[in-house]
Amino acid sequence: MIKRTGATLTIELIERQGVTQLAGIPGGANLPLYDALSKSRIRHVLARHEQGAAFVAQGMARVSGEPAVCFATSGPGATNVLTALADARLDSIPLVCITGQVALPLIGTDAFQEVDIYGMSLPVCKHNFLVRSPEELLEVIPAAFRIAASGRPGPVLVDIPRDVQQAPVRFGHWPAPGIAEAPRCAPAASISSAADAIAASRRPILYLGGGVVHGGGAQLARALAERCDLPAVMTLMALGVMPYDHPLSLGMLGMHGAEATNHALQRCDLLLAMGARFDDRATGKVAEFCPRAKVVHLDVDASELHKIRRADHPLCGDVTPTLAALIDHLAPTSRTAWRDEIRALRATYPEPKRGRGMARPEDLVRTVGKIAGPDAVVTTDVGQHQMWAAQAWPFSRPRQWLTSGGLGTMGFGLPAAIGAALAEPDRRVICISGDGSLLMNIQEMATAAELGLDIKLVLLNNRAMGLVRQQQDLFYGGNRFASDLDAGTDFCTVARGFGWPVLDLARCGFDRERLQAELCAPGVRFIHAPIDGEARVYPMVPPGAANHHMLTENACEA
Amino acid sequence: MKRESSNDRFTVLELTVNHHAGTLSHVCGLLSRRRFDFDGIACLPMADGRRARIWLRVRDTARLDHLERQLRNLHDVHALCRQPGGDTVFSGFASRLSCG
Ligand SMILES: Cc1ncc(C[n+]2csc(CCOP(=O)(O)OP(=O)(O)O)c2C)c(N)n1
Ligand SMILES: [Mg+2]
Repeated sequence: MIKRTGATLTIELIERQGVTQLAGIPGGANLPLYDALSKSRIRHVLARHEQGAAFVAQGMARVSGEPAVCFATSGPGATNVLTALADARLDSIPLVCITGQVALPLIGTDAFQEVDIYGMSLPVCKHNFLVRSPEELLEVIPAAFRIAASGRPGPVLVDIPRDVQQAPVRFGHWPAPGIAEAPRCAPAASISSAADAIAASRRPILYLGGGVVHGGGAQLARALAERCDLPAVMTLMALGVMPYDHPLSLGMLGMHGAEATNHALQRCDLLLAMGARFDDRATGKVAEFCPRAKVVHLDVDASELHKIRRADHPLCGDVTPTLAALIDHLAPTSRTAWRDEIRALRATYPEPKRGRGMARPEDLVRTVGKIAGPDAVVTTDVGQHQMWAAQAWPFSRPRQWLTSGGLGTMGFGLPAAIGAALAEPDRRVICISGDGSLLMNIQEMATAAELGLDIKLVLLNNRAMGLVRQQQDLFYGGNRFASDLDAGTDFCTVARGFGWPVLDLARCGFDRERLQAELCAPGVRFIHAPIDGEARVYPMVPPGAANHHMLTENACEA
Repeated sequence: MKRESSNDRFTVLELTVNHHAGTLSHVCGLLSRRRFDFDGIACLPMADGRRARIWLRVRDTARLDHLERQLRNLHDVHALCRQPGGDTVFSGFASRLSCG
């Protein structure tokens, strides 16, 4: 018989999952777990806010594709992780969040720091557990990892009451670790009908979503595009699947996609949606999205098929085996006429001139990306800076780009960068943040400094919630309200206070060499980039409009 | 929001689920969160005590397929089948309502 307590059993089960580091914050209801953790070989990363801890875990999971773990105590600790769980759910990120709970006999009595986190997390998790006995842990912990990683990944919450952590448990043998279920290929008949549709199509477009990244299908997606000469668009979540300079890449579609890209979609006769879910930021007004196209839709989650747009050729399966089978069915094709048509569209709707320097925020972002190179990881917060990064970063590979897509959570960037740097210590991590967003998890600057991670935080400071202000300017008659951040916060001093060396680009005339030296220096570095407060993200599809009605810089700023 | 009318057609979905306190929350939470109106719900544990049956009476709309797919995604749901019209689970409840 093996003897443990609920707490030591939990920690060992997590170790047996291969987890080597996790992030969290202790408190009364999870102290037994922390006591056990202190004796384990797992490295604990002490975040400064539980939302930060869960985003650190997200950063690890997003770069590695493996479930990552965070810990929080009951009550306020647990409620603090909710936003990051909802974020993981919408972007399909595998997380296992373990919360302490008040002791079983106290549940339902409004005990100190009791909240029903099981109930509260239910709509934002893939699954959740309330553990009632230490024996259940033998089943629940491996199941949590299996569920988080299987099929469409997502967050799983395990709530463990304090007395369950303390109770002794005896058992005969260790359960096998929970691993992702084997990938399933879509049914053969659906694959051949999709292949026929591709072969018959004259104007196909590949529409790649985050599922291609999560399913490890980026290489196959590129192979399919190249074999069948398929122009490809990417959602925000899929950036990097096709390198930015790939001849078949049309970049990002949707609200802030390139004009020519959205117009090409308007003309396509076959839309090949791969691991994409027809999100409204990508499709614009759905009724007018790809109006002439038949749809092939590949998704591992059956409930995504037909949800927004009826698929003519649904493919329910994992992206990797299904794409491999699809490629086998298809002969190499060349589509010169369609490519010429797209080239003409690009000439009609040219991308705005990009400068080489740093005059415009998007130029600055591209310069940072070029210096950082293809091996670097880039994380962002949410706002204009995020969209400039999406438009201008020279993407070269999947899992290079970590951004909060579905939930659009300000405060994501810095803790996610910490997680990425922990999981991949050999890579440089760049966080592109905004002055509004950074303040939402700024406390994690302490965590990063303490750990001495290789993180360069580039703050695009427009003294505003720029994206909000942009919407007020464009759609609310210029009524700017509650979108200025004019407190005169001295971010450089704040950063120094957290122990970060600082480069203020304004003080060195945006000198490229100083920037390069700073980006290439080891450890944490804070790079302050004051930018034009009037700069806007273009093009832009007004919310609710069809994608081919884009507002452009030429039209709006004339 | 559309009110129930006498010519609405209903389907009964029969779910085999894990028998624990959270399962009902998962099922009912899904219905409200995804804007599925439901008309009736009944639940009983099965003989082994580990599983339970839930019967849901739902309006037979175009979104029913989608509801089914989302219910199947729940990890506490093991099986789901449709019993269009012919189910008797709810007739007993209905007769109690009519005797006021
Ligand atoms: C947690 C959260 N609150 C509010 C919003 C709404 N919102 C979207 S962008 C934005 C402004 C972001 O400001 P900043 O980080 O400075 O980015 P900028 O647009 O200026 O680049 C706000 C408030 C959000 N996305 N997330
Ligand atoms: Mg700003």
